[in-house]
This record gives sequence, C-alpha cells and structure tokens, in this order.
Amino acid sequence: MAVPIVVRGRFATPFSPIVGRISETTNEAEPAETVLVVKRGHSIPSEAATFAAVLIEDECSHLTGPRVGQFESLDHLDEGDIVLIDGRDGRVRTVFRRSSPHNALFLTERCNNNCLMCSQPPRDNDMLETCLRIVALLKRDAPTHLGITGGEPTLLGSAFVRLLESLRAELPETSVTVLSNARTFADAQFVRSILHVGHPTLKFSIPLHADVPDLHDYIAQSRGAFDETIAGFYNLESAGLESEVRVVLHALNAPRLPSLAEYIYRKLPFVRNVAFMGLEVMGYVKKNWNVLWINPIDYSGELRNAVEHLYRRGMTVSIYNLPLCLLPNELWSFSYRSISDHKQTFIETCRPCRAKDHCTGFFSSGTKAYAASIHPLVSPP
Amino acid sequence: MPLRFGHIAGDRVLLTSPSGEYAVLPRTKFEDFICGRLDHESPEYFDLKARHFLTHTSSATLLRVLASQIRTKKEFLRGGPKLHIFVPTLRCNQSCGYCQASRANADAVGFDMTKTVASRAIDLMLSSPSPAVTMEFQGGEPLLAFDLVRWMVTETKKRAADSKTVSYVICTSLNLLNDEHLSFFKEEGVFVSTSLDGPAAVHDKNRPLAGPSSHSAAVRNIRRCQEALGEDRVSALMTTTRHSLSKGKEIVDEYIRLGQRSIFLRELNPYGYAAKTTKSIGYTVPEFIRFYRETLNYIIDINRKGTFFAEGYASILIKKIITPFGVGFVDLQSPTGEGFGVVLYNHDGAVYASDEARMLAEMGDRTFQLGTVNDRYLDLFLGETMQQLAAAGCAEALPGCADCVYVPYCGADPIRHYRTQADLIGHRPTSSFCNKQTEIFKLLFELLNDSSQEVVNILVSWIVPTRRQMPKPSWQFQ
Repeated sequence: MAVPIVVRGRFATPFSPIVGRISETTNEAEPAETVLVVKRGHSIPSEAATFAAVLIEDECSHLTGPRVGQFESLDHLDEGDIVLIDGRDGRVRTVFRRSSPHNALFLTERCNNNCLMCSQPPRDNDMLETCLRIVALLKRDAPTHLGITGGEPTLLGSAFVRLLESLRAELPETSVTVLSNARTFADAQFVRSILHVGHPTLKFSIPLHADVPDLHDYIAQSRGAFDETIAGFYNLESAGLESEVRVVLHALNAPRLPSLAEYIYRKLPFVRNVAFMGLEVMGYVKKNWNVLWINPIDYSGELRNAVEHLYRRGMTVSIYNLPLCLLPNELWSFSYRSISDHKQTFIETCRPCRAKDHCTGFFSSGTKAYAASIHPLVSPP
Repeated sequence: MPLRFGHIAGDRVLLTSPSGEYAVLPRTKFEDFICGRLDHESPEYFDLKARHFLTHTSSATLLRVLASQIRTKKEFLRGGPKLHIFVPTLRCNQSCGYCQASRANADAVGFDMTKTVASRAIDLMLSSPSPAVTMEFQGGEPLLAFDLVRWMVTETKKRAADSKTVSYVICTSLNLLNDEHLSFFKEEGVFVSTSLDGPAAVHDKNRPLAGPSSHSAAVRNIRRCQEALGEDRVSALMTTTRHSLSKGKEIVDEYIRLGQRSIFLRELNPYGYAAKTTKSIGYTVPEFIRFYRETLNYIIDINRKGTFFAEGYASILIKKIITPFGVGFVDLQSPTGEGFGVVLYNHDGAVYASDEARMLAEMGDRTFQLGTVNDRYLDLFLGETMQQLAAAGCAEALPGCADCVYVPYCGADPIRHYRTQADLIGHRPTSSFCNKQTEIFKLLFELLNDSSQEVVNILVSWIVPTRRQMPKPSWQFQ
C-alpha cells in the first residue's frame, strides 16, 4: 500500500527546520534528538518540552515552540523513522523509514542533465547539513543499506565527499549506493578523492539511455553527456569502484535496446549489474508524455532480446518497476519488487492474480496508462 | 574510423574494427556509408556509430574506449608467456604415425632431463612476471620419467610458495598409468590431458601400440582418471587423420560416451613424423574443412537435442568474435603466441619459443631456439630469435593479413610459415594455414549471421556454459 511521505499540520510560530528521530514514548534517552508523536486522544505529557519537536495528531491550542498539530493522521510514522519538519509551512517529510529497504539521502535538487523522463526535475537547493544530521541520527541503529540521490548528488563536489566521509565514519556497516549520471567522474581527480574516502561498500548506479551519443544526449537534453558518462564509468573502473548501469525504458530508447545491450557488453563488461527500469510517471514524464510513452507490452520483444543477450554472455541483469503481466514469462526471474513501498500499488484487476506476491506492482502515480494491458496471471505459462 | 571489410554471401558486406567489433550491411547500405550518404538517423548509422565504425567528433572518450578494448583483447601479452612446457623425457612407448614431436625408444639412454636442468627451468618459469602460469609436461611419454615429474611439481610448489599460482597439466597417453600416478595427480591437483582419436577403428589405426588394443587401453585409463580425479580433471585431445575424415559422427559419439563436454577438432601439424607421413594420413584443406563443417553441424544438432557439448576450436574463435575479451590460446594469437604466450624447456636444456620450434629442432633446424636454461630470463625473451618472431608475428601488419576482414580474430604463425613456405612472413594466397582459417571464419560468421537464434544461443553457450538456459523464477504461483 502506498505510504504518504509528506504530511502537513498547523503551527503557531515559525521555527527553523528540525531533523529528528520519531518516538511515541517519553521514556527516551536522547529527547533532544527525538521528535515526540502524540496520537489522537492522548494529552501532551509534561516531558514534551525536552524533545526536539512535538507532532500532535489532534487539534491543539498549545502550539508554541517547535510543535505542529492537527494532522489528518500520523499513522505512517514508526519508531525510529527520521523526519524533517519545516517550521515555516508545517510540512513533515519522512526522510528515513526504518521498515523500508529503499531509503536514500537526498543531497541536492541540482542536476547537470535535464532528462526528458526525470521524475525529480532540477532545482537549486542543497541539503548537505540535513543529510549529515540524518547520518548522525542513524548511528544508534544503523540501517543495512542507504542510497544517496538527487538531482545529481556529485555536483556538490567536496560536500559530496564530506557526506561519504561521514557515512564511512558514522555508519561503516551500512552499504551505500549513489544514484549518479557519472558525468562528474569524467574528472579522474574527483574520482581519486572519492576513492581516498575508503568507503568499504560504495557503489554507483548510473543511468545510460542509449548506445549512441546522438540519442543519449537528446534524452538527457545535454550535449556531451554521453561522453562524460562513459568516461565516468571508465574512471570508476580504473579506481576499482563498483558501478551498475540503469536503463530507464521509454519510447525513445526502446527500439535500440538490443544494440544498447551489445554496447554495454562490449564497452562496459565490468559493470556489476544492468538494470532495466519501467518509467515512473512523475516530474517531466507528464510534460513529455507524448514522446516518452510506450506500453511495455510493445517493447517486450526488444527487452527480452536485450536481457537474454546480456544474461547468456554472463552479465548480471535485473528488471525493476514493471508488473509481471507486462513482461514475457522468460524474463520473470529477472524482475525484482523494486518499487518503494510508499509508491507501490495494485489495481482491482490484480485481485485474482496468483503471482501478485512476486510482482512489483505499479507506481501509485501512474496506473492509468498501463491499466488496459494489465491482466491477472492465474496459471503458470 | 579505420575498418576492414569483405564481401559475404547474400550481397552483404562484413565489417570489422581494430578493436574486434563487427557489423554486417547490405552492399547498397555499405556503399552509402563509404560515400557518406548514409541517413544520420537510420538504424544502420547508429549501429556503425555504436561499434566505432564512424564518428563525428575526435572525442577523447571514444579513443579511451577503443584503447581499452584493444588492451583487453591483447591482455594475453601482459606478464609474458603463461604456458611453460617441460619435456622431462623424449622416450616414448608408442609410435604414432602422426607424432608431432619426435621420440626415442622407451629404454634409450640420454633422453631424460637432469635435475640440474629441471631446476634451472623451474627458476626461469618462476621468474616470469605473470602472477599465474601453467606448467605442462609433455614428451615423449612423461610417465616414463614419473619420478622426475613428481620432483619437479614438489619443487615448484616449494619455490613458488605464495608468489605465483601454478596450474599443472600432464600430457600423457596414459598407457603406463598406475595407482601411484593417480594419487599423485589427485594430491597435487595435476590436470590430465590425453589422446583419443575416436572409436577403436580410428584410434588404433593412428596408434599402432605394440601389444593389446591402444583404444581399449586409452578408454579404460580415461575412465580410471575420471573416477579417481573427477570428470572435469581429465580431457581428451583428438588429431584428425585421413582415417577420421568420414568418421566425424562416430568420433563425437565416442567423446560423449566418455563423458567429455567438448572436443577439439584438431588438424595435423606439418612437423615431426607427421611431416613424413602426409601421404598416408594427410589430407587437403578442403577435405579438412568439409570434415570440420559436417562434424560441427552434427555437434550443434546434439546440443539442439538437449546435450551440452562444445567444439573447442569454434569456441575459441567465437569468443574472439563476440566477446570483448582475449583468449589465451597460443596457436592463434597476434602477436604470435610463440615465445609471447608459450615457452618450452627441452630435456637437453634447450629453450624453444614453442612446441613447434622444438619439433623443428628435432628435425635438425634450431632457428627458433631462444637459448638454454643457463641463460637469464630477459636474455631469452629479448634475444634475437624473439625479435625475429615479433617482427613476423603481428598479423595486423603482415602482407595479406593487414587487409583481411578476419584479422582481428586471427593470429600469426611465423614458425609454421617458416616450415611450410621457408619464410617467417609467408605468402597468404598459398598458405594452407590462411586457407583453413579463412574457410573456418566464413563458416562461423555464416552460423552467427544466418542461423536461428537457437543455434546462436548454442554457440554462445560454449563460451558461458553456466548460462545455457534462461533461469526459471524462484517462486511458484499461489
């Protein structure tokens, strides 16, 4: 079921942004780092004053200081989650969900690409301090995995390196994946400074849109993007840093998927994984719908060729974000339940489906486009 | 970008790039490309661009990718020869019509390597810069010098310690095999390579062993090794003679019966005794190609019916053609594998650039002797003989090869051309080596371009056997 990421409440006096760990009990060792949640029907305890902030589900008249109240519901917040409270507009954003395997540090909204299918279009805004704070709060109960995303997180240069240093020092057991277009890695010096951090499990997930610069640069809406990204892959490889290729699937690159697979095998055989990903109907995708949209059923032949080509040659391949009923059954074993649970949903048609427990479902933002092709899988092929 | 091309069937053109990629175009499209008329948004234009047959910029990244691809393909050069062949004895208890080496009688004196020579040869092998090498024992029949072989393996393990990974292979007819040998192979992880030319009718004709049937002895001993060491620790090698030409199916069936997962359809070499017996057991290139094509098709059919079984030579060439990687196969490399990929230490202390160089020497011509075990490593591998081999050993720069569309996947063989054409560089139009290579490349490209996806998948599976089936989901329907 989809889980809300941002909820909004009311406040009396504005306050500076606060990052804190969620708790519903006052019996808390580090109240100054904790955001206390008071559920409906409960009164505000006297210890509340020692907490970093208080979120009150009920209507409330005592909203002085860092307190936000009158929420529709705070049921989505669990013990150990981390929230960012904006004291200027009353928004409470969940920045870490203890129960989710898909958490990422959101470092910047800036980007040096402007991809047609971007789900998170660029804006000028950096959040290094928030990320460092989240890392510090996670230390008490380190997650097994954490992502770093944006925008293009590596655009922050030395600040990006600082975040990696903090992750290595504070959360050495947490594996880290950076979602990056790798263009900044065309600078070998920058890659060396990342290598120098000595993070033990650092990995880079890098989108590649096509096998030729003409198409890749068009999709990224940036001339020279392809060359820098490929150089980035090579610099990471020379430094011994791990990378995976991500291919977001849409009408512009679908016809050349088999050629892209051959390109990856011939030029980037060292990548750890090749992930083919369904399109998320967010951000620019809505605006560029007409050029991007293709029913996954209509590229299943090309996708199958591409996956088979790579798999048979010994590469590791995954498919993310595509419901099983839109994939040829030969590809089912490559499909992972990849859609973050807060975005995942199914539709009424799926009810009789007997493969649902193994299906990634849909993005809650975009079931309509697929709906006509969705069908329940009731018996093995 | 630089490219080579050649016309192929169906009015099409095959293009290859120096970094080993290829493309096939209809002739009209090829002409459009060459004349600069190809539509910049056509699939052919993108295909050629993605494979670096054309570019519009002098991109540093593009050059870096090309350099990386060429470096990967030529990776075998790094660290010098990986295959170190030792001839502990020249004595043999068989007399094969096609023996490529030469032999001395089993009881002859003065044909064994001394420990002093063996010790120097081991030191030379261990002073090579490569972190991993293969120590291969040939003969003669190395089991006639078993004590020495055992001493050499033990001594190598002691001296190599953790500084080098050494794999051990023994090439033996197995007809002297006993339990002591087997437990030694098992304990020390020695891989067994033996000869089997096919069913009795073929094998025994090729190997007139004094005494009982050579074939039944070979089969019995292969099974013994398989039981003691594991099926994957013993491999059989066949040589094609005139007797084999009509028996492709029977030979393959025999290999499958013995649990082998591949066969290398190997032609006769023009060395050793084989050179003298060409009339009775030899054949022409077209005869060999016909045998090769029919047998390869039979093998593909076997795979189609569900049994995994590979042809070794096709596997090597297809790996060169369809993967970004190089292949450590010393007989087909550019620069030549002779001295660059392999070196041989003879029983008398002479060091040769390859097994073929040694065979020539046994025939009285020491042209390709690098020196002796008393020389220093660098002197052997930088000496005049190596320089001669290097000069004639880069196929990309040889007349007749330089323009050949297949050269990115082929190799140079100066010693063979010296032997057959009295010239290290040789003359391609009359070279049997070139004729054979060209025909086999034609055949393989035909298979890759014009057969069903099923057949292509079979050929790919020979390179990555673990991926021959698409995986099934780990989950069940509820």
